[in-house]
Amino acid sequence: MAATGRGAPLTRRPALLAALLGAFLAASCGPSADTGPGATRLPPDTLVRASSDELRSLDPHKVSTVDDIKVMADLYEGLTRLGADGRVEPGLAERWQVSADGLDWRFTLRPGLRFADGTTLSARDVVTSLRRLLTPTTAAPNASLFFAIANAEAVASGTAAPETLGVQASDARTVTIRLQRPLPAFAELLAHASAVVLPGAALDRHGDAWIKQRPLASSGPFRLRQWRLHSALTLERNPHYHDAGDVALAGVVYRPLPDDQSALRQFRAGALDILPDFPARDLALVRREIPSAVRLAPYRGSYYFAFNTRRPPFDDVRVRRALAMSVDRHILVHLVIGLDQPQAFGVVPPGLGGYGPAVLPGYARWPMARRLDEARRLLLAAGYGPDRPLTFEIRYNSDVEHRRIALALTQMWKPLGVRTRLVNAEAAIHFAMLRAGDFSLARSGWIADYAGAENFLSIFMSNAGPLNYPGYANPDYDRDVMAAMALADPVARNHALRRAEARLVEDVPVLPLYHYVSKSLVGPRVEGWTDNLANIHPSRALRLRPAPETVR
Amino acid sequence: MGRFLLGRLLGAIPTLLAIILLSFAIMRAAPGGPFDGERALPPEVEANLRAAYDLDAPLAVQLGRYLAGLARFDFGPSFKYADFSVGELIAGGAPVSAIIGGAALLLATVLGIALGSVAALDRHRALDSGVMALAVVGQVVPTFVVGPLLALLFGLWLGWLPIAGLEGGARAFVLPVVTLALPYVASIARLTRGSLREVLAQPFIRTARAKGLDDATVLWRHALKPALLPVVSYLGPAAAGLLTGSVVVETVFGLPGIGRYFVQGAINRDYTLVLGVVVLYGALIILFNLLVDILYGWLDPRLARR
Repeated sequence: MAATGRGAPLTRRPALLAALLGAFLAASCGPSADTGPGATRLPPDTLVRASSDELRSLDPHKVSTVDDIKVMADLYEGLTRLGADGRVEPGLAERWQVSADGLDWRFTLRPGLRFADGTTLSARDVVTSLRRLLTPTTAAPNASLFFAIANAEAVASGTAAPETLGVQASDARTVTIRLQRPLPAFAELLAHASAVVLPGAALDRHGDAWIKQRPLASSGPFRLRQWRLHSALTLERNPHYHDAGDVALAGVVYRPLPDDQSALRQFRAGALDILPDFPARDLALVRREIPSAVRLAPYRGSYYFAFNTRRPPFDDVRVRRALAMSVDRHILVHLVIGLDQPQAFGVVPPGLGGYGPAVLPGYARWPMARRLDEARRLLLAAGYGPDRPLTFEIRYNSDVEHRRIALALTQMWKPLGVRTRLVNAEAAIHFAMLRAGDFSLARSGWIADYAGAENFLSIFMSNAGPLNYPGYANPDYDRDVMAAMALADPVARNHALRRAEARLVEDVPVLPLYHYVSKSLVGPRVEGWTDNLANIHPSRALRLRPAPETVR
Repeated sequence: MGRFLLGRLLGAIPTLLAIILLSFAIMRAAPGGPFDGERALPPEVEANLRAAYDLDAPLAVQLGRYLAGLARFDFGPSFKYADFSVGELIAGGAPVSAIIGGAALLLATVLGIALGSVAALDRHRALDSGVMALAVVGQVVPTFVVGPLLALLFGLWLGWLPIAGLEGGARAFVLPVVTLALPYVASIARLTRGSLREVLAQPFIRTARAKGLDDATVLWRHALKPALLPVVSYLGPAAAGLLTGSVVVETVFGLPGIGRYFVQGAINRDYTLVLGVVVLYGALIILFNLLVDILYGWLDPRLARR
C-alpha cells in the first residue's frame, strides 16, 4: 500500500476515499425494484409473525413458553385444536363422546389423515405420542398437565411402564382415554401443544432424533420449509392437512425478535404483519401512529407477587392481608402501567371457562381510607408500628414494568410505616430463588395452560412442590380443591372451586394486582383476527388482504 | 520464524485451557441454572433433564468430558436450543458475524487511518479539531444508541435501507457495518493522529523534509509505517472482537450472528454455548496477537532483529 501512494498529493487522498465511500453508500441506498421496506422476497400470501425469542425446539415435547406454543399450533395438531376465537373445536378427531361419570373419553379420528410427509396418521400415533409425553426420559416440561389421565403420574415418575397409560387405540380411527379424575376442560387440554400427534414410526425408529428427519412429519396446517436460527422459521401450507382447503395462507414466517424496540421498528416499517406484544410504555406511540393496528384484549393470566408464608414477617396472615388491602390497584393499572387491566384480588381471571366473575375479598369494595385504617390496625395487632416498622425486600426479575410496580407498592405502603428494599435479578436467578423459597415478597404470575380454574388453584396446594412459590400449606384449602376436582359437572365444579378460591383470597399467600391484558399489533394486511381470552390466533384462521403496494 | 510460530502456538494451549477452566468455574458458580424458567419444572422432570445433559455427574468429570469432546472439536449440545449442538450454532452464525465484522474492520481501519492522518497533518488545526471532536463523539456514543438512530433514520423515515434482517442482499449489511465500525473508526483515528504526531516530530522526518519531500511522500514513505504500531496492536484484539459479532448490533438489526450467544448464552445459563463462544474468542485473540507480532517485525525492522 505504501507503493501505490507514492507521489500523490496527500490532501486529495481522504477526499477520494470519502467520495468512494459516498458512492458506495449512495449505490446501496438507492431505491431498488424489489426491496422497498414492507416488500420482501417472500412469496405473496406469506404471513410474517414476530416471536419474542427463538424457538427452543421443533419438538412439541421440549417447549413450554407461550411463544413456542404458538408456533407449535401451526406445525402440529392434536385430537382437538383451538379456533380463531380461542375456543376448542375438533382437530384430528372429528367427534368425541364422554361417559356419564366424565372419566371415559372416546375420540373418532377423521378418515384419511396423513402427516406432512404423506405417511398415514392413525390412532396408534396418538397413543405413541401421549405415551412419549409422559415417559420420564422425554422430560417434557408440561407433562404434569396431563396427570388427570389414568396412571399418568405413575408413568411420569417411572414407577409404571408407558404402556400402562390410560390411552388405547381400539382401531385405526378410535382412541379411548381413561381419566383418573374428571376434567371437564379435557377436550381443550388436548388442544395444548404438548398433546399434539407425532409420527409414531419415526419416534420408534429415531427416538429424540426424530426431530432431525426431513421432511419433518408434522400433523398441522403448515409444514417446515426452512429454519434459519435467529433469522426466520419458514413454514408452508401442508397439502396433506385434513383441512388444507380452508387454509388461506401459502406460508408463515416467524421472526425471533428478542429486542422489543427493534421489533416495534420493524412493525412500524411494515416488515411484520403481527407483533404479539409490545412494551406498555409504547402504547401512546402506537395509538398515535398506527391506531388501527393496536389490539388490547383481556388475557387469561394473573400478575401477582408471592409472599413467602414459610417465614416472618409473612407467616402472619394479618401482615399479608394488611399489605394486600392497602394497595390501590386502580393507580397501578391506570397510571403506573397505563393499560387499565382488570384489577385482581384473587388469582383466577374473570370469565375463565364458565368460572364467572372474579372472586373478591370483602375489602375490595371499601374506600381506600377505610382499607388503610384496617391495614394499620392489622399491622399493629401483628406487632408492627412506629417503634418496630415492618421491613422487607421486594424482589423482581429485571424489567422496567416490574420495577415500576415495585416502586409504586413501596410508595403505597409508606403511609403504614412499611420500609422496603427493592432487589432485582435476571430471570434465572430470580426464579431459582423463588423455587428455593429464598425471598420475602417476589414478583410472580400465572398464565393459563387451558381454560380451567383448577389450573390456577392447584399450584397453591401443599403438595404442588416448587410451583407453590409462597409455600402455602392449608389442609382445608387442599381438601376444597381436591373435592372440586373430583366433580364432573362443570357448574358444580366451578362453584366448588370458587369456594376454594375464596379461602385463598382470605389467606392471601399471594398479592394479586391485575389480570393480564394481551397487547398485539396486527398489520393492515391481516384478516380474520379475533381477540380472545386465550390470546391464540392460529395462522390457519388468518388471511391476507391483497395489498397493491406489495404485490407485483 | 518457523520456530517462533511453533513456540507461540504451543504456548497458546495452556492459555486456552486456563480460559476454559476459568469460564467453566465462573459459569457454574453463577446462581440459577439452565432449567430455571418463569415456571418451575417438576423435580422429576428437572432430574431427567439434568441426567440427559450430564449435569448430575461431578463437576470435575463434566469438565474432563467437555475437554475430551473439545479435543475432537465437539462443543457439546446446547441447553437452550435443544435441536442443535453448540458446534452447529457457531457454524451457523459465524459466517454472518465474520462478514459484518470483517467489513466493519476494513471500514474502520481505512477510514480511521485516513482521518487520523488528515488530523495529524493539518496545519490550520480546524480540520484537526473537527475530526477529533467527531472521534470523541464516535467513541462515547454507544452502539445501542447509534444503531436504533440509524435504523429509524435510514430504515423507517427515509426508507432507503432495510430496517433489519438479511433480506435485501448487500444493502442489509450497510447499517450494521456502519454502526459496528463507528467507535472503531474513532479509536483508530485518535491512535493514528497521536502516534503520527510523535513520529512527525522525530529527527528522521525533519531530515526527510529538509531533503525537500512533500507531505504525501513524507507520510507514505517515512512516517506512516512506524506510526501504525499502536494501531496494529489495537487492531489485534479489536479484530477478534469484531469478527465474533456484537450482541447489540445483532439484536438491533435482527441478524443471526454469534455475538448474541455471549450474552444470551450467559442469561440462559447455556453452559456449553458460552464455553464454545469463549473458546472461539480466546483462540481468535491468540491468533490475532500472533499476527500483530509478525506485522510488528515488518513495520519496524528493529523489533524483528531483536
